[in-house]
Amino acid sequence: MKPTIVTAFAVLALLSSIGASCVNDDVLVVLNLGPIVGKYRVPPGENTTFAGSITIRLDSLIPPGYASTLKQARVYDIRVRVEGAYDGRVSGESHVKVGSGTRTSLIKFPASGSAPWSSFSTPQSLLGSSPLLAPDPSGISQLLQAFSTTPLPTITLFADGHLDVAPVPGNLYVIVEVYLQADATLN
Amino acid sequence: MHLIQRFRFLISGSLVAAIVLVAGVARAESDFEKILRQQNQTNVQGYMQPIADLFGANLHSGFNHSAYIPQSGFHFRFDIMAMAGLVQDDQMSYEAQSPEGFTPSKFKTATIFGGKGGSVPNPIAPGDTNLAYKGSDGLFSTTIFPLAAPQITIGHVYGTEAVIRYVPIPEIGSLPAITLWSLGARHSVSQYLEGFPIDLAVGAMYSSFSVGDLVTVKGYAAALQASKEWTVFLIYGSLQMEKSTLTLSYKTTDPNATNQTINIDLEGSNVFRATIGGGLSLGFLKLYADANFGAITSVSGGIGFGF
Repeated sequence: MKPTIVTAFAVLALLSSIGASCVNDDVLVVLNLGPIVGKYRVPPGENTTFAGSITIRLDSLIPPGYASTLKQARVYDIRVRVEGAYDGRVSGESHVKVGSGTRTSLIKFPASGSAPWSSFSTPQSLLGSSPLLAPDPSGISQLLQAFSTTPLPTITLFADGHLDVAPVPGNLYVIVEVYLQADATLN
Repeated sequence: MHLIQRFRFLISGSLVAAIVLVAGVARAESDFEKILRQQNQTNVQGYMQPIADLFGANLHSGFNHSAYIPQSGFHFRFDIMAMAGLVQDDQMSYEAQSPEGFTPSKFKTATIFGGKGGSVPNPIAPGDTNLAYKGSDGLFSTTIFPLAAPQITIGHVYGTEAVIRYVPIPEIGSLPAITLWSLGARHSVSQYLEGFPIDLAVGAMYSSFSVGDLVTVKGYAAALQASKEWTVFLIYGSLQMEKSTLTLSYKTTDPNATNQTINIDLEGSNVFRATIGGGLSLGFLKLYADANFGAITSVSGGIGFGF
């Protein structure tokens, strides 16, 4: 009888632990990260240029516990939009800098020349294949490489450009949003 | 071995099994919670639905054995139940919702039982893996989803017996408390059908399983059972209606989720099953195994000690 009972408990213990032993060792969990949002004010007046930057700590985007287990990242959208009313045209470019590295172009809006300010009142998106956006693979690549840097560096997102008609009214903003995913291991 | 010694041995064995269970479950539960918290309201249903289907089916397995229930007399039996739902191919992937703007609007990716997560390319650069949206990998690599539980059967009063399952695992470190309990009753129909060639019984059971505040599964089942015994051999079958609901309650870490607090009910797909099985009755020792056919195919088996 005793060997039978021992066997029974061995089977029970084995069955109970099957779920755990079948957990994949190389599971990648996808982290949807908060967008990096740069909001740049266009100064009012006769000057028609604008420029600005925001700096964030990359680890501030990562859910707790995952900063040391990141494997790779992706950009799944970049959106450019404007706030404020203006009758002229705009052209601009956003750059990215990782830590104290060099500035690299991330996206131009539009690809060349200029576009009506009002055309950006509706957010222009890579997902919408917007003809007004021209992403630069080198900037995207530099941004994504930051996720494999230890410790996680700061990211600076720049935007600069100009409008075509002065005077520039007040309360104009250009907003660049970068949407990211990162893959992390569970352990 | 004296009866009291046998049950003392059973209790000691249960403790050993519980320790093994906790050690194994700790990692699985921790990984499960981590991966769950990355899911938003939109995609958690597809990712987790197979768990609701399989766990619901397991919860209601192993309830139907011999339909022979005497009208009176003391009866006590301790069973160790093991059940396993079979993971089907179509439970390894699902159609996830792409973020607004992606074409196509849905993409095929792994469920919790799947392999590598699928992705949908960005239309502006379809071949660029740096510009894509991806689903998480599956967590479990298994073709069966098991559950084990002890069960006590006590009777008989007016041809009725009570069935109890109870597994309390207290909170240990970061592992939340896990509790499984079931309460059921089976009633002999044969006692009203004198001379009927097989034993018949009806039964009903309510079950609850919880992992902290994160996961709750509740369900009930009602069954018509039939069996026939020849000396030590038993064959049995049953038809069972059942319902199970898995509730997930957590805060997602997805910053793009419209609501960070997720409360979602996932209905188990198994609502009806037919069971066929057999057993051996060797005095104090009972052995049985059965197969269950419904939306979920599952098997269960067990070993019982009692009289």
